[in-house]
Amino acid sequence: MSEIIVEKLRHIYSAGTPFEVAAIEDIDLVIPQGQLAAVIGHTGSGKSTFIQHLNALLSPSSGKVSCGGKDINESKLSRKEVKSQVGLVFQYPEYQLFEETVYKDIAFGPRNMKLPEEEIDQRVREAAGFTGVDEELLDKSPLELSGGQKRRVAIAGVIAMRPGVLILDEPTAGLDPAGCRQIMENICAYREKTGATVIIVSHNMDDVARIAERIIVFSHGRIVMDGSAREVFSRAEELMEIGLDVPHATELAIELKKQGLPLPEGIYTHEQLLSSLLKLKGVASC
Amino acid sequence: MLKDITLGQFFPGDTIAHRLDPRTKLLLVTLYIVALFQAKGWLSYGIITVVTLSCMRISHISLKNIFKGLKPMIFIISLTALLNIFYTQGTPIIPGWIITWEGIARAIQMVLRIVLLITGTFLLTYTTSPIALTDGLEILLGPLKKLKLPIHEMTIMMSMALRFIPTLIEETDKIMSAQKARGADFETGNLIDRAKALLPVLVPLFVSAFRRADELAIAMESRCYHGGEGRTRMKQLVMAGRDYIALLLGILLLAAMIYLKKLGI
Amino acid sequence: MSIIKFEKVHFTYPGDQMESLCGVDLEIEKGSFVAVLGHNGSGKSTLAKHMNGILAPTEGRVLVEGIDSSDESRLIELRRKVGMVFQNPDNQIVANVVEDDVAFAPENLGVEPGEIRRRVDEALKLVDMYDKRRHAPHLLSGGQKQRVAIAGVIAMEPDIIVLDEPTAMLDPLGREEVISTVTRLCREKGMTVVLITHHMDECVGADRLIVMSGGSIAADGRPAEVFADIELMEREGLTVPETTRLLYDLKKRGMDLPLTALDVESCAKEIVKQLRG
Repeated sequence: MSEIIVEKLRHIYSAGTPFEVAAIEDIDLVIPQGQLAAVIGHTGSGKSTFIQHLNALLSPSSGKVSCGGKDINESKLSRKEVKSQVGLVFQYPEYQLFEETVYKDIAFGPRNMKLPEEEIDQRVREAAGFTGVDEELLDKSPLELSGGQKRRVAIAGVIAMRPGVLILDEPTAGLDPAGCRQIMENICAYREKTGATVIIVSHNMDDVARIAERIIVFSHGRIVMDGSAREVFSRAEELMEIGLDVPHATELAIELKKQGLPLPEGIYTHEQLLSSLLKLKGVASC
Repeated sequence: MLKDITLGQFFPGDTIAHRLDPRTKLLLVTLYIVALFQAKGWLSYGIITVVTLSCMRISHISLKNIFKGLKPMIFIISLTALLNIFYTQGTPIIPGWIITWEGIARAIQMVLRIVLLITGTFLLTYTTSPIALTDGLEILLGPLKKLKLPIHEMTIMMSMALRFIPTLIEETDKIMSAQKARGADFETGNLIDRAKALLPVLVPLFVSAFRRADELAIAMESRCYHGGEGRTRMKQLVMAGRDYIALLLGILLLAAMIYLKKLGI
Repeated sequence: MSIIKFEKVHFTYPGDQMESLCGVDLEIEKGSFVAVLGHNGSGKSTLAKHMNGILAPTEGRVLVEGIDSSDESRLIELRRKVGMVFQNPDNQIVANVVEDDVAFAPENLGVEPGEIRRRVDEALKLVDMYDKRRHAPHLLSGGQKQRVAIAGVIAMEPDIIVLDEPTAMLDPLGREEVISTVTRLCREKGMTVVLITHHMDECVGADRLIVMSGGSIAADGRPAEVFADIELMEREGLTVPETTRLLYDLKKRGMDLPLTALDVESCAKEIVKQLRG
């Protein structure tokens, strides 16, 4: 069980100096095991600070984060243990690759967990499988790979720790549409196979709308919305006010409504928009 | 944590020390260092200390800033003090002891010399932007170009290095976090373990530095960079009256030190 | 009048077997805004790097305002005419202060100091970064850094500005800042803009859209026309705007709609017109 409970979490940068700023404040949140949640917010909204608290890379100025019922900041050991329970993939993770071969790099996490060699081998191959990294790439140097491949190797490096919670900070940033699609598919496949919780930070609202069961919206260090895609994107105007995009389908639906079409609330995917319009057409042609 | 390091160490301000031409300040520091090494007796050290403290006052640099900068040097400073205390011949403070009055005096003078030396250079970097500093350096060393020394190349390399320090520090922080998230441990183990643990940070950092250098070179060429030949500058360095006065004072300090040394005070 | 001309340009990277450009013929009109789309490895960046002589064709030639890009003696002249902006804003800013960075190119060109000052101020105002002229670049946001980079090439007073995936590393806000800045440069200052990207949203406002694939031009036309060929776009691993996709799907289900209504407002108008009969 890796249910995450965040209570009254607060993080202050440069505490005790004139530059003191609260990066996040009053964060209360429960993320049940197996959920696929998306965290959205503009740059500087506190979302990156937030996710670094979930595996104890940062320690709270006040408040508590627990995973599977245990306070993760309880001791030095718990702070270490949580790193393998909660896997965190940073933005542009390909910049962290350092080993001579792809295999060794993916093995870095499991090796730090002091696992036996057979177990490491098994995990490396499994993680490579999840992220679509071919067997023959394992012996290559990470430097020889293409951008998209490097990204997938880096994600495999975290997946190899078999985290019950996988957090990804903008996993598709800078990739072309084909590369984006592949990464999103890999992540969904990992979740389906293992039942892991997945938390994705993303600016791509179309992706978020398509896959997320829950959307958590950050603004100025606080959670301002938290709900299903339907609930959150029904509040499109508010999202736009805090400087966020909405899915293209939502944007188009709003314009159609403005021009007088009686469309239902909470449209956020192409399919929904298409079927609503076809329904209207059916009514019109009767 | 790494972000707290103040490298480049420029404190923007609008004091007369900030307004002096960088060339003046570079020359002043040179004069100051030479003068410092002429100092022999207590009177000379006293004069230089007073001059240094006044310069700090003028540039609005507090003792605290200086101490912060001296921190990494504490080891060397203490070592110097100890060596001088124990290895100077003379009258023992208590008969039979190895510690001598001369040793103590010498230790104090040597420590003072190091501290003043560092403080002097800090005053330069604290009050001069890196760009102004490298510009000043390039012009001052300009005559050496005739000897086919690559002065322009050296100074542009210096300014690029200064430009990329914050970027690379930020990147180091990021890579460290990413490796920590994969269970890397930078805090426990003996010295060798810790050095080994840094590999996963250093390798990506080097790879990225090379990539950056490559891209930067293309970007510079795309902006018509072709070496120092025929280059002009937006910001022209102009020597004003205050620069000449400051230089005069610097020369006077050096002259005074040489005179006192001759007198043996 | 065409300002850039590619004549049967072939290019192979040293050590590569495959050609990265296979016989590209292309003419770009003066003052136009041209977007180039393509998946990774389609040759779009290679194309861009030919426009200011970073790469020279292995076969064929590239002419920019009549200058042959392979003519090394005229390379500086060529680069002054074609400003290049790259993907990573951190790796193209050379100075510790914004205005010093913008001055870099004119300083290289030996422009006289008073004139450099004028150009720097003007360029910074154009990209709306004048207020931050004394800031350190590493403290700016990605979008702001990229605008400084744009100002840095505008200060050369080029006729053409080529941007090689300038928004790939930016957040939505930064992307918007960059795209609206280059659009303004084209529309108000008459600059020729070539924008390399893989975000289809950014191509909507262009005069012309070129799709690169396997080192050749796969499609070339007005953005609305190019996007309307959804099969081709999908074959190229690219996405099309939601407007085009919706019109396409509705049309397939028997509605009589033009696929060329690209912006949200006119797309909605067409649909409403249809449904209202």
